[in-house]
Amino acid sequence: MSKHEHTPSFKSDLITFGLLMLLTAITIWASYATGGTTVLAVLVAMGIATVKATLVVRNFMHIKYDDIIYKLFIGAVIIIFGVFITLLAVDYFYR
Amino acid sequence: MTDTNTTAMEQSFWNEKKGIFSWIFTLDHKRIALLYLYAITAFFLVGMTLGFLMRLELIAPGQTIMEATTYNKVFTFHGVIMIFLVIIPSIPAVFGNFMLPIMLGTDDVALPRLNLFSWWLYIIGASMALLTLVYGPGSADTGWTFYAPYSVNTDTNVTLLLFAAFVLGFSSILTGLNFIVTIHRLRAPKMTWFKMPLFAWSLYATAWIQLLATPIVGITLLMVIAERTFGIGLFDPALGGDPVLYQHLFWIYSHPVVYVMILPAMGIISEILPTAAQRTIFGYKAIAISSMAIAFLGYFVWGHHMFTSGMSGEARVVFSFVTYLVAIPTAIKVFNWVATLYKGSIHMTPNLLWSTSFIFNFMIGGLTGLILGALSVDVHVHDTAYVVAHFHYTMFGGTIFVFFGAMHYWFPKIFGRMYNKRLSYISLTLTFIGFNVTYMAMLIVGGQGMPRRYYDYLPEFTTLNQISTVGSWVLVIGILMMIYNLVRSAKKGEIATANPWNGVTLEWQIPSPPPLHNFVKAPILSDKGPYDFSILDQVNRENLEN
Repeated sequence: MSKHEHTPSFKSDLITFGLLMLLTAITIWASYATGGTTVLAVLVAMGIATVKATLVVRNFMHIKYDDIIYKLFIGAVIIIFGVFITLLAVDYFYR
Repeated sequence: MTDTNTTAMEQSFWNEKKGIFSWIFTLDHKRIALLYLYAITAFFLVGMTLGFLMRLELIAPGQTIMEATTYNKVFTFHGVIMIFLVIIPSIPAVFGNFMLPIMLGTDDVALPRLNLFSWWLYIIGASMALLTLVYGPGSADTGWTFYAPYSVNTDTNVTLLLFAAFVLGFSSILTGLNFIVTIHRLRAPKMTWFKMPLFAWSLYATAWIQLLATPIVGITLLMVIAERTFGIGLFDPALGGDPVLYQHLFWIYSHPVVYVMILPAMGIISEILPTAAQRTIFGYKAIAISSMAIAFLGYFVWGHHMFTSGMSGEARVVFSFVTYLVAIPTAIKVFNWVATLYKGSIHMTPNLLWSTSFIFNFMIGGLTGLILGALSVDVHVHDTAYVVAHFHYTMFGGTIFVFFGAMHYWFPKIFGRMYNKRLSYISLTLTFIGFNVTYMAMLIVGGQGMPRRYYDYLPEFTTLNQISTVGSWVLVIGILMMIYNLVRSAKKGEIATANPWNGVTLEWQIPSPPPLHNFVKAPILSDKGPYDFSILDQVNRENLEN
């Protein structure tokens, strides 16, 4: 069977959905626990959002079942985005 | 043989359907390519006229034919037309659309309706841009880069022009998306990644830039519109915004887009040279991978456009260093092109001369780029005519020269007729001389300190400006002569054979012009890759039998 024909089960989709809801609840809780507007609050919120985005891309967008080349390109895009932020930071923190 | 070619003409995509609606609502990739060709040619002529008028203004110090404010508007619109309406779509939308499916051995792009939608977005965006000339408070005067905070504060037609660029960006994104899907899904059986023609590789690298970088400028332009409309304070320092942030966001897109403009041109050179030399390309894999490397590295060098913007010293050093990395894959390509010609069985054709002219121009454009990439030098020549000349050496002497070369290479395939070669050599000579006189003089006067974007200059710059203006006259005569030759030949030229240059890639294995669904029988694919000239006799035999 081709990888492209793989269909995730309803159960696995439900588990992913449950995880996303749980992480949303943790985000709300963490915003109170970390003071809401502190650097730590932003880092925690961004960290949880990254995990959620990974779950969506991997499970709901079926990248988990796709060819290696698509995973490579997604990796390249993440690297490019990371470099954007790093190079911007080199300007902003040293200006 | 003539009968065969006349039949090919009758059975081609040109004659499949008639009437205006069969064109503007067509799903055929070849007709969509030609819709782009006609629109882009029209906009090129407008942009060229504006450039001609700017050079005429600069023939003498002081006001000559236009006021300073008019000059600002003219160079803005010249830039917007040439960048957004001509160079960015030119090669991918015209030759990519026409040739990519054929070179891959398929009958159309993967998403034909999306392809037509891209063209309509292009026309809508172009119409909006043209509307800014006649509507409301007057044409924009910001320059094509729309730098904040001036673009936020000027009362000219910036908002509509920004939105036009936003719409044009979507056209570009959708074309890139279509090419990526086509290359992944529709390659002929047995055509593995490293058996794809290099033009397809260059379009693939380009498409990823279109897909990933264009949304950034789209959002940035919307942010300027929001700033102008609601006064949010994103880029205007008076409202607490950061104008340098605008430049970051703009150039994060606009530097990679330089490779959207040049990579497809490099791909075409990699097609023309093996055919002209009748031998396989030197370093196929190196050229293919260098295209991807340029696309990847192009994302990390945008800051070299901002060395004098007030960016931090540390960032300037980093960007200057990273800029030099792009020179490596570019130099690999140039080396391989020259090596392909070395000891080849060279057939002198107009398209070969356009290609070698490109290499000459692009070497000057590339080397002046290295000079500009050096932080210590750039701060002195920034915003001078030197930068303008460098840019034109890469974009005009580079991309547009290759566009003309590609027209001469694929003209018999597209139109089924041959142009007047003697006239094409004369027009090429005039264009090449005119181009180099115009921009070499500009390069020198810029190095001497003449600033860009001024309608006036100091008396000591007069002679070089006059030389440059006279060069522009020769350049325009050469281009008009070329267009006359091609337009006339499309109707009245001698009927062309299926393979006039003795090429072996798949487009030379089908009739000229191609039938609606491109292939009437399975093409010949060599196990040795796309430039295996040992199959040439077989290709030509099959063409005679078709």
